[in-house]
Amino acid sequence: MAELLVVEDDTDAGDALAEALRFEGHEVRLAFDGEQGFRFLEERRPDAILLDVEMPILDGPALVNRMSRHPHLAAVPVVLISGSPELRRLAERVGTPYFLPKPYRYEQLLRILERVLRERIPVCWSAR
Amino acid sequence: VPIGAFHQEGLTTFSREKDPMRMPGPFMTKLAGAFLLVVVVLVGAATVSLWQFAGLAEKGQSIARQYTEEVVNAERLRSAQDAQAAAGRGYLITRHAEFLQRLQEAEDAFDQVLAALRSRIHSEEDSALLDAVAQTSAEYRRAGHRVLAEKGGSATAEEIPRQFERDVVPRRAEVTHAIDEFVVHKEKLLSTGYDEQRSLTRRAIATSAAVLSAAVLACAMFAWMMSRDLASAYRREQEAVRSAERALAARQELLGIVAHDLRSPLSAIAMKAGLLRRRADDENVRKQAESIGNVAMRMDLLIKSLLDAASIELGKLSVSRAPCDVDEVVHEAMDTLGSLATPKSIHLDVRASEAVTVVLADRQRLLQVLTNLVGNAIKFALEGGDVTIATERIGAEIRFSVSDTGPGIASEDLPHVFDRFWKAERGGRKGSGLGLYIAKGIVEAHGGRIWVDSQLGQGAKFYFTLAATEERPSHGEKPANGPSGSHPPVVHV
Repeated sequence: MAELLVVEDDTDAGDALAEALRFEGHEVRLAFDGEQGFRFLEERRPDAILLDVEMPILDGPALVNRMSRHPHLAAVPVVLISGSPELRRLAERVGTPYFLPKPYRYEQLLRILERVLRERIPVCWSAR
Repeated sequence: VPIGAFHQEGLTTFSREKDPMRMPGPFMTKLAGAFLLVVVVLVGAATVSLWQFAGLAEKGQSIARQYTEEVVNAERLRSAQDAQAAAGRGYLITRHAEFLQRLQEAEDAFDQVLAALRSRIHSEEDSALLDAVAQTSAEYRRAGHRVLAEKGGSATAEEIPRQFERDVVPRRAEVTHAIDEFVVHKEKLLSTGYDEQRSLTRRAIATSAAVLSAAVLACAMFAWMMSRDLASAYRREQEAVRSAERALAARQELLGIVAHDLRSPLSAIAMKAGLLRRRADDENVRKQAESIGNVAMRMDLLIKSLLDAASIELGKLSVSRAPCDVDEVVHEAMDTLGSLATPKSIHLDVRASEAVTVVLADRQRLLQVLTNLVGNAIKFALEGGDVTIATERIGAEIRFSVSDTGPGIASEDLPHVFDRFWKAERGGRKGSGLGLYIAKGIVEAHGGRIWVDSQLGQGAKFYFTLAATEERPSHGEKPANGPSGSHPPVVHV
């Protein structure tokens, strides 16, 4: 069981993801924008973040950028989620090896989550 | 989203307007006409000028010749007169009959020249002066002959010179004076002729300059009109190209937004379907949930196809080539599509020649081409038929072929099978008509070729080529890394 933070502005997609993760036995908090996500992060540091890219107020990469300025948050692994065809490149820029292109299957989610929790490679902001 | 409408408006216009060689007909006629007119005007002006100058030169020459001849003749009168005087004087001194002979000759010469001059009378003044010469000369002659007759007669030696001084010398002075006046007059005529010629030349130069200036002005005007027309045609062309590009870019952007906005709800559907499947106790519910998930993924594949087609159209399809094991990719495609073949009892077969090993390609894209072609083949193969993937190394290329035992493609349809949104009226299952278009785009983005061989009733055989390589495939490219790299869902596009 792990403690996870889902940051996703689409309420249906966020709910579905959070519910699936809870069903798999994880503890999940759900934020609907980057700002709220960052508040949750400051309150308690999760084992991993599942982060949507396109969001109002503070988008995924901006949230990672802000995290990188807080040493205790920088070490959290991030799974970048987006429907953009550029997701792979975006993940490289943000500095995470984990990404999940929308729409994803339940099994894909389980596979990536299992990998993240096993490897725990922290996000490493390197955007130029 | 009215993608079809975009297609109609944006792209057909673009491809039509893009061809700069295809000018509107009336414009070309106008251009040719103007060009012809310019040539005619210039040639006409040049001809008029040349003709004028040639006429002028001839006229000038004839004027000069005529007046010069007359001046020369007038001078001849003087010398004939001198010869008469000399011969008369010679006879008076020597009394040789030879001088009388010379006198006669000189008089004849004088009369000839006089006659020649009389035939070229230009004015009354001319005539009067010549008459004066003739008259004074006749008087002189009469006086001279009288003296000569005296010489042969009774007159004394003292008398003759006196008579000569009294009668002949004044007459001679009169003749000389008359000839002088005549010569001066003729010289004046000559110089007037030259002046006339000069003024003619000046007039011709002025006329030619006017004609040529008019011609050049006309040409310049035509050139300006034509360039204005051309410029507006060019502007229209540019505007058409720009608006077509804008339409393409706008469509691409719209597609991107739509794709993104569709994918979040699709994700939600897939997730909830997955959750439902996991939670359900009832096998039937689990099956329904799985089917919902599949439908969501199929919708995503359609989105992907539309995005790919738009990228191909903009020439922006990116492929990252790396050595790929051909056998492995082919078998992966077969594994993925096996589930489609089973319900129709279609036999999937792979034939690889020994030599084929590694191809330089974007692995995911190659897989996409193969699944599109094999998916199509399965779709169109008759129940219980065969679908065969074969690979063969030919020179520096590897040739893939996918053949089916379906109804084949009519010869009139063959040129269109790779067109976007094209679907043969073969009925059967649904598809977007993008699969072959995308396959072609991907193969061509790799620098390869794709084509089809088919006859009605004989099945169809699709071929494509990719560059072979001697390098070994790096297995890091295998899809194990990201979840994105899993098998492409089996969907007909």
